[in-house]
Amino acid sequence: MSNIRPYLYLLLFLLILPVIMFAGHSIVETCCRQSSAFAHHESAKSIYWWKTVYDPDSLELAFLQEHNIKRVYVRYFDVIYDPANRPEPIVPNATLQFRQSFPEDMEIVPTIYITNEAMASWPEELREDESYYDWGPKPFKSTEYYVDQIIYRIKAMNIRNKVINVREIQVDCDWTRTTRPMFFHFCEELGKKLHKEGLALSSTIRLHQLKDDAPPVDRGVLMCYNTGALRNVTTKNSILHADDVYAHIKSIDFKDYGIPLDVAYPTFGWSVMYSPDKKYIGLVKTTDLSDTDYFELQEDGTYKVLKDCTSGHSILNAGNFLRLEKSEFTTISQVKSQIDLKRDLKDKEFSTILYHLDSKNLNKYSNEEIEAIYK
Amino acid sequence: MKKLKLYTSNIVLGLMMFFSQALACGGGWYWPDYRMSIYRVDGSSKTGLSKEELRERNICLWMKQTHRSYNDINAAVYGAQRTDYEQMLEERYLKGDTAAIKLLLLARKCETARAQISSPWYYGVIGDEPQTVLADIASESAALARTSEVFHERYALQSIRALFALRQYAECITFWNEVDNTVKEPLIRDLVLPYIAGCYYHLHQPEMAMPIFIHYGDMESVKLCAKMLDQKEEMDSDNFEDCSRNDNHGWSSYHMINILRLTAEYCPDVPDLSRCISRLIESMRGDTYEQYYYRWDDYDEARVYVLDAAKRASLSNRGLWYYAAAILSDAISEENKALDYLKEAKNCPISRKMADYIRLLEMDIFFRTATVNQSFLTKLEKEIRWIDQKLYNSFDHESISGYVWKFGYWGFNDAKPRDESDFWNMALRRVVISDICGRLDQKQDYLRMLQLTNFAENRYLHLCDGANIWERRYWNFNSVTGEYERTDALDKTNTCFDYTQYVRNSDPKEWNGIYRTELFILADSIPADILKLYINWLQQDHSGFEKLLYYGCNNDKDFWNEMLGTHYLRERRYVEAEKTLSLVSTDFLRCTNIYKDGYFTRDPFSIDPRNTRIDDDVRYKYNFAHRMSQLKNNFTHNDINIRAESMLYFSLGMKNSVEDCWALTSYYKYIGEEARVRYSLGKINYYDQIQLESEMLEKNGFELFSDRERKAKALITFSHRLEVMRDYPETQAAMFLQRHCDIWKDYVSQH
Repeated sequence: MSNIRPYLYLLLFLLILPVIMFAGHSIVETCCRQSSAFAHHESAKSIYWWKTVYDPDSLELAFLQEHNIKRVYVRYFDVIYDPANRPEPIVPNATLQFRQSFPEDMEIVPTIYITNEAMASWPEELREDESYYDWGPKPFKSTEYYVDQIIYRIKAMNIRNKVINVREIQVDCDWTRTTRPMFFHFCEELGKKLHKEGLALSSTIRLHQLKDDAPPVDRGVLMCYNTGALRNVTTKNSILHADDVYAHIKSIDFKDYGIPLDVAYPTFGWSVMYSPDKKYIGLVKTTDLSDTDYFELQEDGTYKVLKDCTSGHSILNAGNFLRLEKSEFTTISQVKSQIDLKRDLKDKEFSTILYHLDSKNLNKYSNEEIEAIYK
Repeated sequence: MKKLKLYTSNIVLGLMMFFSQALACGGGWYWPDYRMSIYRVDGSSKTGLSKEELRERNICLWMKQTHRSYNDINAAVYGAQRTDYEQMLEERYLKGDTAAIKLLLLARKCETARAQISSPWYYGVIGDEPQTVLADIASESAALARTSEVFHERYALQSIRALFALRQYAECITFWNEVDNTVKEPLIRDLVLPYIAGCYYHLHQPEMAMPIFIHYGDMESVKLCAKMLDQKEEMDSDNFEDCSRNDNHGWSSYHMINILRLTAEYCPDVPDLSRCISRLIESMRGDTYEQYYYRWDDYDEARVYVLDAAKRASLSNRGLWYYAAAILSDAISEENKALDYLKEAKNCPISRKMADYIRLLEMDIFFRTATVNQSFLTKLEKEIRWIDQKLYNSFDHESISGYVWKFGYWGFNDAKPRDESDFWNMALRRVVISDICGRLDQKQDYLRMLQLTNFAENRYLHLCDGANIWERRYWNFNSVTGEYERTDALDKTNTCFDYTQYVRNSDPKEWNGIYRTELFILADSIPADILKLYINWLQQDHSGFEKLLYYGCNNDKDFWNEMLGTHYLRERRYVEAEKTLSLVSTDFLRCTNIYKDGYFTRDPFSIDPRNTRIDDDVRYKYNFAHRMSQLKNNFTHNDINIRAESMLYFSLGMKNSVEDCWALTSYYKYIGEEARVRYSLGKINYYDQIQLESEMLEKNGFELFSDRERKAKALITFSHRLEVMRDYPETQAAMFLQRHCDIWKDYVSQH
């Protein structure tokens, strides 16, 4: 009996060999994806630039310098669905205009915002249900076509605007269960091409997306803002609320997520306007509701508009209500503590990012507070 | 209260432009614009540049320049997407013509680069590939525009295209000014000038660009120019939209009025003024749906500008502006003022054509406003003869066949006349069908209406006859190339069809157009007796004015007898219907749209015709009339039960003939709400009457029975089962029902 034992071991080994090989392959692949030469992601204080014109004022430039910001995620353009543009209905929109140059040593991450509508209209090759296109002509552009166009456009914008220090591209999309296959496929194709050019691919991750698989990108940025239901009149603060964040992250450990995550915190504010019967009207840019001739604080914390007035392009009619929403430092700190508990401490490339570079909002924080967020 | 006149009050026909949707089992419909056509003041054949028209003209010029066939040129010039394009040019389409091949390859390169640059994804970087390619093409073409023997004009076009794509607008204009005198070919000029206008616009010279855009009917660009001119006048954008016109309808009207104002102010003597005014007035006055956005005040305001221009314009252009003022006055029902301005226009030096248009507008106003009496009828004859003479004299057989050859008569649905004769064709239709028939309708002079409508609608077709007018060519959209492509149906159309042949040769699966004409709508809406009178008139010999009206009219006996038979069915005159329908050939019946659509298979004597199919029989209407006649005869039968059964089935046939078997009495069923106005059968409301008669007959029929068994069977047939079980339980019919239906079995056990 003992004579056959070696043969049994050999047989057993042969049986489990494919499993070992497959697992090994996966490990190698995962390692490659996370630590390859192109994905040279260093831990750095970072911030988003999300306006349509890059023309930072002196305070914004000073902010970058004072806080030693090393990386700026710059929204280059949106990708939207525009049916008027058939047969090419997926088009770039709101392209960034450069009025100034970036400092040469600043790492720039061109960021592309893709609307979920555009993703829902992504080329047919991904469609499981062909009848989706019964209503009209099928688009004949492929994912590869759009991937090429996006890369071409980013490169052209870099060349024309002398953006040199680019190591990574980021895509931002509020993808859902329905659009996930399209978005993931798009990321795969985009990633492959970017890697050939020595560039990494990252993606924003919204809190609600955490419950899904991670997209096939090199890194993610967890967006810790816009956490609540904006239109709901009972929402306390739709920009950031610790309870909202905790609900999403409580059962998740970053190290198990599949891709390393950076975290973005908000540093902006706005007011949400409702009609007298508490129906959502829209956003108002102002956060200054201190003029008691015009605004009256209500018991529930909202402000009532007393006289007709304007704020930017918004008209504030008397009788409307405003919910003032700010990204308070205390709330950010609270959320940051929750996040830190979940973070993968082995991830040495972890970075904190602020959203976004705007002197009107950032001047509401002290230098110490900013540093505390970055810490 | 004043009300903007839209000619809706005339007759239902006057509403035609408003409802352009597909209706009434027809095909493509020839619907010229009755209102606008007579307001044209230039009268030339060119009425804007459609893609198809440019393509055809381009092919013709290439054929002239290369002496190749239509098909070869079509493939060579429009086949650039082929991967083996160069090879095909060299070995097949343009074999041996190196100059033409060189030009086409350059053009392809130019178009490819232009497509790259115009892609929404393009982000220009100095010296990138498309820009480099275009710069090379611009300089190479500019050189060849001066030296090429055959193609110098085409090279000029290529250079301008390249420069425009490169946004080198000033260079583009400079180059054009250099070569302007050498480019004589109208097609090339038509292709170049919109680019030049675009250059002027981008160089902030809208006053230069606007006349060109107006000339080419590019009203969107005209609006942009007007806005820029406004800004030049330091009218800020807030004021621009504020002017008490910030409601939905006001914005576009303000634009057009503003354009008119700016044209009047800046270019009252622009070259080709007549065309400019035509464009502007057409845009305001009703060439498009946009007209409905204009208000009374808008016309009034526009007239102020127009009159101002009339005062400032040179003498030779003054008449045109007064004419425009007359049109605007007419639009707001100020006919007397309109006539005054027409007088002013006539006092200015005007062309003969202008004089014709003035006469046309004068008669238009007359026929809409005068009382119908003998002098009205005398003038009617005189003016129709005059228009007909104009139509006849301007009819260019070759040109007509060319146009119709391209688009097909029935498929052509453009409000703009295609050439001078088509203009007079539209004028004839407008004056006769909309104006005159509108008045005759009020007098219930249907016979004369039929005579005039048939003439007005078919006179042009009559003149075209022999010119191979029927659906000559088919255009299909190629989703890959994004282009319309012609399918080779040319051989088929070498057969010369006349009117009746057209119907009989129509595609078995496609609707033919005869049930979508004004004549059909009119004939369909009048009582059978009047229709009969008209059919008799068609069969008589004619002289004088009646002879003219008879010329070329639709005299297809099958068409008319089928229609008369249908009218008889509506009017429950089944014996006459049977007799009339027996005269209709089966060849014709097979071509009717309702037959093609399969409505002749519903059993009109079934309680559920939709689900009771009978054999497909082209003589469906005749068979129905025959059976109804037989049933009617039985009303006097000795056997009272047969009499009762006949009444029941007669009532059922009647009811079904306007419900599920509506194809027996109508040519359409489901039409939109708007179309119902247009297709109103108000003159003979047969539907309600038939329903009423049917109910009465059914009631009387059941009361007549003496045989309980037969009555019970009839009750079952007519779905009165409860009555059978309740009142005739002893009959075999009731027992049958009880045996075969659990519900009725239960019913018996419970009662």
